[in-house]
Amino acid sequence: MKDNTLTQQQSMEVIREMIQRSKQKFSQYAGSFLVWGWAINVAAAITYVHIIQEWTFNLYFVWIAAIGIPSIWSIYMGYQKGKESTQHAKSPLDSYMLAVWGGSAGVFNILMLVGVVNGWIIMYPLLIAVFGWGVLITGALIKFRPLIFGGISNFFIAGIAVFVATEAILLILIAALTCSYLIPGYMLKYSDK
Amino acid sequence: MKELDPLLHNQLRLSIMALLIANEQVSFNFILEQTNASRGNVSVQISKLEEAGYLEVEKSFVNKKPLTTMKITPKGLNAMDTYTQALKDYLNL
Repeated sequence: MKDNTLTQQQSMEVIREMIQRSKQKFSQYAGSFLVWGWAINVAAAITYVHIIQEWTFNLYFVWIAAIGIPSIWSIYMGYQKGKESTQHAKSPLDSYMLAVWGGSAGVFNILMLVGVVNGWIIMYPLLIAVFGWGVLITGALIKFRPLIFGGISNFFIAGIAVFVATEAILLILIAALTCSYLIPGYMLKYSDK
Repeated sequence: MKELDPLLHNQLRLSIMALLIANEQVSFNFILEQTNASRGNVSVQISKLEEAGYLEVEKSFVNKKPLTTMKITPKGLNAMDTYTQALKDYLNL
C-alpha cells in the first residue's frame, strides 16, 4: 500500500474496504450449534427408546457424554478463538457471544440442578426456552434470520411442552433442537460459501 | 465545508484507523496482513497516530514472543467520526 494522499472518493473506498476485510465469517459459529444439536438430540432419542422399550440400563452415562463432549469441545474452541483474537484482531462480536453463551450456560447448569433435585418433566419447557433465547440473540447479533426464526420457534415449542407430561416431551425436545440448532446451523455453515 | 483532518487523509493511516474502528483490538501483524504495507511504513504511521492520541499501543509477550496490539481511543473515534462526516458532506452522501 502506498503512503499517499487521497481523493474524498478514494478515502470512502479505503474505509469501506478495511471494514469489509475485518468482517468475520459467521459460518465459524455453525460448529457449536451442530455439535450441541446432534449431541442432545441423540441423547434424547436414546432416552425415548429406552423408556418405550423398557430397557433397564442406567442412562446417566448417555447424558454425561451428551453434555460433556460438546462442553469440552466448546471450551477448546473458545480457547483457540481467544488465542487467535489476541494475535490477530478482536471483534466486539466475540465479547457479545461470550456474554450470551456464558449466561446461557449458567442458566442451563442451574436448570440441570433443579431437574436432578425436583424432577425432569417440569424442566423441559424451560430448557427449550433457554436454548431458544441464546439462538435468538445470536441470530440478532449476526443478522442471520434462520437463527432468529429458530430461536422464536423454540418459545412456541416450549409453550406446547408445558402441556406434555409424558415421554413424548423428548420428541418435542428433539423437534425444538432441530428447528433452532440443526436446520439454522447447517444454513449458517454454508452461508459464507 | 469542514477541512479534512490531514492526519487521517492518508491511505495507510486511514486504513489503520478503519481497521481499529471495525475491531476492539488489532495486532501489528494483522495490520500488516490487511494493508500489504511494509513493516517500517506501518510502524511510522502508527507512531504518528499514537502521538496524536488517536490510538493506544500495548506491547506484551505471548508464549515468549513479543506481541504489539492497539486500540482506538475516544479521541481517535471522534476524529474518525468527524472525518467520515466531512467526507459525506464533500460527496453529498
